[in-house]
Amino acid sequence: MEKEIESKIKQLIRQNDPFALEIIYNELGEKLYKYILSILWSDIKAEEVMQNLFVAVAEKRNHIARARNLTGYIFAMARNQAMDFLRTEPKNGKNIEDYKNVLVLKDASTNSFDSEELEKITKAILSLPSKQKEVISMKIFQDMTFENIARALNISINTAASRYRYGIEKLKSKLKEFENEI
Amino acid sequence: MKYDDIEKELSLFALKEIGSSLKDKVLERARNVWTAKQQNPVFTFKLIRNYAYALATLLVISITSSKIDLFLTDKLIDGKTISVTKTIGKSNGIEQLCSDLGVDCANYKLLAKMFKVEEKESYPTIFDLRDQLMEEFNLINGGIS
Repeated sequence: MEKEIESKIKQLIRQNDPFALEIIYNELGEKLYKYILSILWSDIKAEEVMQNLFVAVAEKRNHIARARNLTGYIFAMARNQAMDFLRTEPKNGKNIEDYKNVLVLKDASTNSFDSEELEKITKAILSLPSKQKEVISMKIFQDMTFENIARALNISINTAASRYRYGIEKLKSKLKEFENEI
Repeated sequence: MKYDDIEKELSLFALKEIGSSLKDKVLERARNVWTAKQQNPVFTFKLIRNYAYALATLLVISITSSKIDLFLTDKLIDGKTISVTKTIGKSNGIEQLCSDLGVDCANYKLLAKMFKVEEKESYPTIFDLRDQLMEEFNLINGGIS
């Protein structure tokens, strides 16, 4: 998010104008949704967490107005909301079918993937530690630069890059592991 | 599928797009919360009250520590507290000073007298010298007529 937009949002919050919420949604809504989706890996759950997140934004608007990195602050809130959701979720009864509809082919006409392969990829991604999973998701599926990822997650560019590198290595070994199992 | 270039393979995928109806649902709930929960001012009554409590506590601690300090000082100087008062516009003579200090000046006066006598014996005053000169003058000139 650009600095001028951040300033405008802060100003609207100080004026107690709820239009700030709409600007935040227009600027970050898509990215926040995909970020939450990459943590929860379920569109229904991501939608619920998005609603909770914006309620939290409305409640904690005073803190948001004082945040130095507004984007990073809201992404941290999104992460906390998603993690809270995961904690309250029952551990048992998770099914790969719940996670299947999260990844979609960019161009369905030119590429063809059988559902088995897609399942393998999804399983491999789900097996990654959450910090590596979120960076891989932002970099590959959301086409974000390391600079933007670092800003959103409030980490250094080097940390973002190293999380990505380690995540990719793990993903490769996991997929090879699945291939050998067959 | 070749997994050696996993980044290329994964780049064929994207995360599911956000639903268009979600915006209205999200914003409606958030706006309701926004209007229900009024912005808290920075200086609330509670905050000011807490500041007042903190200041009062500091004052009590300060007074108590000062009292303890005075008490311990009294103990150290054998239960006596010396307070010297200065009278403005009036010279503090030795009597006044002794009275302020609460000490007996008799010894001091005696010492001062002894010193004065000793001083007189050792160093003649100007009057002694005058008397001596007059005596010498009388002897030479046979007295003043």
